[in-house]
Amino acid sequence: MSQEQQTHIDKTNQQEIPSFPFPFADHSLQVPDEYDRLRQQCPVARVHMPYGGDAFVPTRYQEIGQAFADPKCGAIRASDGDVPRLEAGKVTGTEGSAASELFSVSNARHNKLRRVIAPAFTVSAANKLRSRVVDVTNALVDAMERSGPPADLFEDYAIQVPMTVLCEMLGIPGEDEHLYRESAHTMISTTASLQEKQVQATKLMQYLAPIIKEAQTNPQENILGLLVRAQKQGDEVMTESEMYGFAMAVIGAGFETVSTTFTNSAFILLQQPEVVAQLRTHLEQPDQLANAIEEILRVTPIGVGRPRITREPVQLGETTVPAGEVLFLTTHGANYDPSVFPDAREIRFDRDMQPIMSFGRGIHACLGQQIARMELQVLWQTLLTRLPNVRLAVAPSEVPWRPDETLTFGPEHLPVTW
Amino acid sequence: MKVTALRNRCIASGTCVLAAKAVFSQRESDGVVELLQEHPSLEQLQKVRQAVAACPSQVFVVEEEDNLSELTLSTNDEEM
Repeated sequence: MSQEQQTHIDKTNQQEIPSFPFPFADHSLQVPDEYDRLRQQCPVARVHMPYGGDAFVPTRYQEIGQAFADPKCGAIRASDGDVPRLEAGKVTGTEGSAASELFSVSNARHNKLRRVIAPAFTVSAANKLRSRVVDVTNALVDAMERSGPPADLFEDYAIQVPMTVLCEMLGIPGEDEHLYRESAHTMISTTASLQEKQVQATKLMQYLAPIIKEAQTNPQENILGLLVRAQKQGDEVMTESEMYGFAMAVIGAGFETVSTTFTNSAFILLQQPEVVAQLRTHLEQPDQLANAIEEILRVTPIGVGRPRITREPVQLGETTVPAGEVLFLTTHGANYDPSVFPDAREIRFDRDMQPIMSFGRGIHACLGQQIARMELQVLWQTLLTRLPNVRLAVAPSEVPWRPDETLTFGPEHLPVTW
Repeated sequence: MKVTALRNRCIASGTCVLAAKAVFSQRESDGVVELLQEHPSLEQLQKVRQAVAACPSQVFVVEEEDNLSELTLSTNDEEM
């Protein structure tokens, strides 16, 4: 341990180093009390990571947002070696697939690349997709009604919507859903080896190759169309491997996040009927619905967070984090900071809302956030309009939980009745 | 209050449009912020402040924050 780290620990009086991730109780999405304790006692805490040593975990909104946005807190690269991390595989982050390109290029290059496909992710693009998502959600509820209760709100509803949107936006066939799910699962796995991740990435690239070739001959008005047109303009606009990286990153991030957020939020809300009743009164007015979904996003944890590595010493509050340290950034740490969101554990649709941290900050902030917001708005709107009495079909303790093997967590299935 | 959008920092997140849709839009070609008004009414002040605070890539620079007699917006496309 360096002298600076020693000083840090003495100054903040951190008596013991907790293990990260801080455990959630069984069958619970209630953010652990450890965040509250650390926020008060040691807001940039030293923690033991599952592999590779110790990292820093900030727990206040201010420092989490600052670290997300600070270019000195970069993405982890293969060249960083055996860093403290969550995953068994040697390298954390997105390395091992072409998607890593987006995180390892310079900031200026990143912004140029991102703008190539940004037209598909604007507020107005999201709004244009809304009526399609309304149709999809209604068709799914029709099918649930035909089969009768109980239904699995994850498999029968939550995952189908972002999967349909992803396939249409990107321009890939819906019938190969299984491959996309398998690929995304491997990308966010904490147990797969680097080699397993590379094998899966290669499989997905080989699958995409003829689809991309077809798009090059006959580009459509979708993300693959945007990518192949950019790539045709030359490597200074977009290289072939950047093009593949984008396509794979969109598959990796396109449905897992929204389906987990919706399912986890439903697990939380359906245990609070008075909150669901309030939400039902916010469905008709678009601004009210949008605000309500921000609050739902705020209270819904979906994953353990993302790492950064300090490229230079970084001052976070009173703590100087030396260069070369891993910082682990959790969005729920920020979203539950009571100095920004008073009574943070309460769901209140009338908050004077501060920006939520759910989509990150800085240049790597979520590209799909407007699409995600729109999908979540429609998912809740259709569900509560069509099935106003929807509720859990089993006790929360009986809800099947995902095995602890990916960066996201929550119910594996969500049995509901109505 | 003067607000300048440093557009090379923009990552096209659309956050400003959500906060103040009467003032901000996104360019069709690349999603980058564009202004719908350069002198919005002071009624927009609170929404513009929200857009400034919520921008994930800190595109906006605010000057004369205490001067509330007028609200002036501009864009700057220089490389940084």
